[in-house]
Amino acid sequence: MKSNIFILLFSALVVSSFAQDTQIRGFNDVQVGTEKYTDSLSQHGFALGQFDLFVTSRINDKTSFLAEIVFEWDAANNTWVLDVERVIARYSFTNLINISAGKFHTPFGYWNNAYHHGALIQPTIQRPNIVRFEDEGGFLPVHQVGLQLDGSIESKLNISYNLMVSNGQAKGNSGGDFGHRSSMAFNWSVSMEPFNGAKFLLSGVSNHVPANSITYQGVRLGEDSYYQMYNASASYFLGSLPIELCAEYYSISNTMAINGTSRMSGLFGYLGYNKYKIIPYLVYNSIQYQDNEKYFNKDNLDGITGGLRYSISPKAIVKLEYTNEKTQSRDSYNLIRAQFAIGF
Amino acid sequence: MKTKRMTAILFFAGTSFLLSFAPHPDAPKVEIAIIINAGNPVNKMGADFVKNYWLRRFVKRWKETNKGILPVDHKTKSPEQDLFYNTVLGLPSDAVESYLSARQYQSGDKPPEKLATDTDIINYVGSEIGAIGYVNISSVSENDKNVKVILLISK
Repeated sequence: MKSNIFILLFSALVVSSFAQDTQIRGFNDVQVGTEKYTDSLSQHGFALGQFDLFVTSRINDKTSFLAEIVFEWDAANNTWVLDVERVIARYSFTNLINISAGKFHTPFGYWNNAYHHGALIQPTIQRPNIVRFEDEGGFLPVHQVGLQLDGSIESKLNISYNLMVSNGQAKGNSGGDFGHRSSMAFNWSVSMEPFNGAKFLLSGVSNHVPANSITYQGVRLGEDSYYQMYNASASYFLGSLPIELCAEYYSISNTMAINGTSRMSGLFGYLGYNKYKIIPYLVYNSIQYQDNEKYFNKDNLDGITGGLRYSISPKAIVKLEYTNEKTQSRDSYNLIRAQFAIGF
Repeated sequence: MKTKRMTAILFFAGTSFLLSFAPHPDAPKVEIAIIINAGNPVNKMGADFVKNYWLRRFVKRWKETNKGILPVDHKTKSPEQDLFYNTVLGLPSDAVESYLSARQYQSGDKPPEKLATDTDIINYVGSEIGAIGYVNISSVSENDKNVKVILLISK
C-alpha cells in the first residue's frame, strides 16, 4: 500500500517537475564493517544505507515545497520499508516571518537539522547517540508533524528563531491521522551566528505524554509524563580556521505524579581538522541517567569514535571509522567500518 | 675554460628557472562586476553582504523589495568564477558546491541557476527582480538597461 502511494506521489512529482521549478535529488551509501561486543562473537559484512529521495520545488516567489522519502532496512522485521521523513509546504512573508506546515526535522540542536538522512552531507558515519532516530530507540522527537513559524534578523549577531507546535512524541504521532493520544508538543530554538562559520543555539521541547503511550524505546508509560528537553549547541563549520567543531548538550526531564522527576543528560563533541583533503575527526558521546529513570531504558553510555573522511568530489565521499562504546548493560562494543556515500 | 662555460650554463639555467615563477607580463587581468536587476533599489553592496546574499546565509529575501534572492552562477569553471569564489565567498569550489547541496537538503533552498555565458547571466538577472550574479566587467555595457553593477572585484 505504502509503495503504491509512493509510486503515485513520485509520478505526480515527475510530471509536475516539468511545469514547475522542481528538482529531484538523492543520497545513498554502502558500508562494510565488523562489530563485536565483549561477550559475543564478531559479525562482519556489507550493509546498504538509506536510499533517500529528496524533492524541492519553488512554486512561486513566496511558496515552496520540500519532500524527503527514504527506503531503509527494517532489521526488526527483516524487510525494506518506505518512510516519509519530511513533507513541508512553506510560505514566506518576509525574512522575519515564514510559516510552514507538514512533517519536519524538529528544530532543536545543530546536528539534527544540519545532518539527517543524507550520509554524504554528514561528517561522520555514525550519528551521535543522543540524536539517534526514533526507530533506533532514540531519546528525542527528531521528526514531528505540525506547524512551524521561523525567521531571521540580519544584524551583527544574525539571530534566527523557530517555533513549532506538533503532535508530540508517542509512537505513531508522525503519521497521517488524528488518532493518537499524545498532547501537543511545543518546540523552540533561538540561534545566532556572530562570525563567519560559528553558530550558537539554544532549543527546547515540552510535551505532555499520556499514560499508556509507548516511548521510542518501547517503554509503556504507567502514568502521564511531562517531558521537558533543553539543549545548548555550539558549532563551527566552513569558517576561516581549518577546523570543524560541534558540541551539544541535552538535558531531558520527565515528571510523573507517582514516580517523581527523573533526569538524563546526553552530550557529544565532534572535532575535525580540514586543512588537507583527508580530514581526521574525533567524536565523544556520553549519555547518563539518574537512578530513578522510568521513561527511558536506563543504560549509561560512554563512547569515542575516530575517523577519516576523504572527499572524492562534492558528490562522493569515503569515510573510515572506529567506534568504541561502553554501556552498563553490555560492557564494551567495538565497530570498524568504511562508508562510500554518494549524492546525485 | 670549461669551468667558466659550466658556470655560465648553470647561471643561465638558474635564472631561467627563477624567471619561470615571475608573473607572465601578458597574463590577463580579471575583473568581475556583481550585478543585480535594475529594478532593485540597492545601489551598492560590500563583499561580505554579497557573500551572505549569494549564499542566502541569513536572509532569503531582499529587504528592499521583499523578493526572494535568486543567485546565478557560471556553469563551467572560469577565471571569473575562481575570482568570485576565492575573493568574495572565501571558499574553494568544492566547498561551495558542498555548502549549496547541504543548504538545499537542510532548508530546501534551490542551488543557484547555472548559465553558460555572461550574456545568459545578464539576460537572466535582467529578467528576475531578485537575481544576483557576476560577470566579466567587459561583458557589461551601457546598453544593458535591465541590470546594474553594485560591486567591482579585480585580481
